[in-house]
Amino acid sequence: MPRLTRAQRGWRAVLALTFAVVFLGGTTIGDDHWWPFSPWRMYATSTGPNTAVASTLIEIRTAADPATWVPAPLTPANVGLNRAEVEGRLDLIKGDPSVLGTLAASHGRLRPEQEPWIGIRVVIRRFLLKDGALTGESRDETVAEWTSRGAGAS
Amino acid sequence: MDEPGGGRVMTSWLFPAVPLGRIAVFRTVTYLFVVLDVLWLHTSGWYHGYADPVWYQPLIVGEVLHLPAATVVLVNVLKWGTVAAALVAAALVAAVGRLPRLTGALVAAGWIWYQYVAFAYGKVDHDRGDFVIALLLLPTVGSAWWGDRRRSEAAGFVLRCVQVVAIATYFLSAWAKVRFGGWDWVNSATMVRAVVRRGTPWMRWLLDVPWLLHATQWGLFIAEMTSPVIFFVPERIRRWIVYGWFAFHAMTYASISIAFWPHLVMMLAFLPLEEYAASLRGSWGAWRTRGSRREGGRGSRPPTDRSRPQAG
Repeated sequence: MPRLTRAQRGWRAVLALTFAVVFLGGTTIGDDHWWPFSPWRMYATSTGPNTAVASTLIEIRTAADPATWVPAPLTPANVGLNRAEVEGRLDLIKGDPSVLGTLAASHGRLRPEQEPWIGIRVVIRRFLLKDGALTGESRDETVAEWTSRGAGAS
Repeated sequence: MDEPGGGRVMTSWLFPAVPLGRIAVFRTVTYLFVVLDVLWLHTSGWYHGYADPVWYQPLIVGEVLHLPAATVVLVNVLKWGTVAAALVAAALVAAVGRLPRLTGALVAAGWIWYQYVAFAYGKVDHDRGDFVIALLLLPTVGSAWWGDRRRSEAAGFVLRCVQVVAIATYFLSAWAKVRFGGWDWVNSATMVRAVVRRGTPWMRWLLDVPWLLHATQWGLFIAEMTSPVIFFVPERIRRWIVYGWFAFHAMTYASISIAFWPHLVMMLAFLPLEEYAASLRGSWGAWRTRGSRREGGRGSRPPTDRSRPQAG
C-alpha cells in the first residue's frame, strides 16, 4: 500500500488546517465577499411573525404601448441578472435609476425577438404577516423608475 | 509513525487508507456532475456575460487575482473549456486512470472561475464550498481506476476533507443562523418567507399550517447543530444518516425548489462507492450474460471483504 511520507502528510495537514481556519473565519467574521469561504447564511436571517415578506419585481413598458406597465421576469435569461442580485443593489438603483437602462440593453441582446423596453420600474411588493401567517394583504412600493431618453414621459 | 498517542489517532483519522477504486468513482461522478452543472443546473454565470459591468462586484478572491468583469467571450470560454476538461477527466479516469492531476487541475480552475463569475454580481449561493474543496484536492491523488483495489492514504485524505466540509455546511449554517438571525431564528417566520418567495404550487398549503413550518425550523436547526455526530457513529448508522440528509434535501426541493446539487454529490464521500459500482457492474454483467450462463452469480457479487469504509 502506498503510504504517505512524513512530508506528504505534513503539507496536507497544513492545507486542511488552513481550510478549517478560513471556513471558521468566514462563518464568524466573514461575509459573502469571502466566497468560497463565506458564511453559509442561506435563510439565516429572522423574519418577524408580524412583519412582512418583501419580494422585488420589475415592470416594463414598450414603444408599442408606452402607457402601460407590465410585469417582466426578473431572471438571468431575460435581463442577465436574477432577482436576488437586483435586490442586493437597490441602493445603487435608487441613487442612480439610469442603471436600469443597462437591464433594457441586456434584454435587447438576450431577447432580440422581443419588443425593446423603453421604461423599467422596480417595485417592492410586501406580503403582510400576522402570527407567522399570510394575511392575504400586500403593499406595492415603486422604488426606482427609468425611461429611455427619447421615449418621452408617459 | 512515531507521533504521540493523540496525534497518532488524529493522523490515522485524517489519512485513512481507502480503496483507490472509491476515489476513481468519486472522481467520475464529480466530473460528470461538473458537466451537468455547467450546462444545465447553474447557468446564471453565463448570462452575466450579457450584464453591464456596472453590476460587477468583485469578491475578495477576484480582487486578489485581478479577475475582470464577465464578457460574452469569457463566459463561453469558461463554459465550454470546463465542460471539455471535465468530460476528458471523467473518461480518462473511468477508463484507465490517466492524467488525473492535469485534467483535474483544469476542471478545478475552470469550474471555480465560472462559479466566481456567477457569484460576483451581488448574490452568492451557499451550497458550493465543499465542491470547491473537492475539485482543489482531487488532483492530489494520482492514478486510480474503477475497481482499483489498492489502498491509498492520499485518497483517504481527500475524502475525509470533503466529508468534513460537507458536514460543516450544515453545522456552520446553524452557526450562521445564530450569528445573523439570532437565537430567536427558530421562532421566526423564516420558513414562511421561504415558502412565500419560492413555494411550489403543491406545497403552498403549508402556509395554512404555520405551526408545522415552525416545528420544521426547530427540527432543522437541531439536525444541523448535531450533524458532526456522524463522525462518531458506527459505519451502518453513518450510511443511514447520509440517506436521511438526502431525504431532507428531497423534501426541500419539493417544497421550495431549492436543491443543493453539488453538496449532494459531496455527501457521496461518506459512502462505499466502489461497492455500489461493483454491484452495478455485477448486475449489468449478469443481465447481459443471463441465458448463456448456467452457473453464474459468483462473479457478479461485489467484493465486500476489503471495501469497508474506515470507521470514523
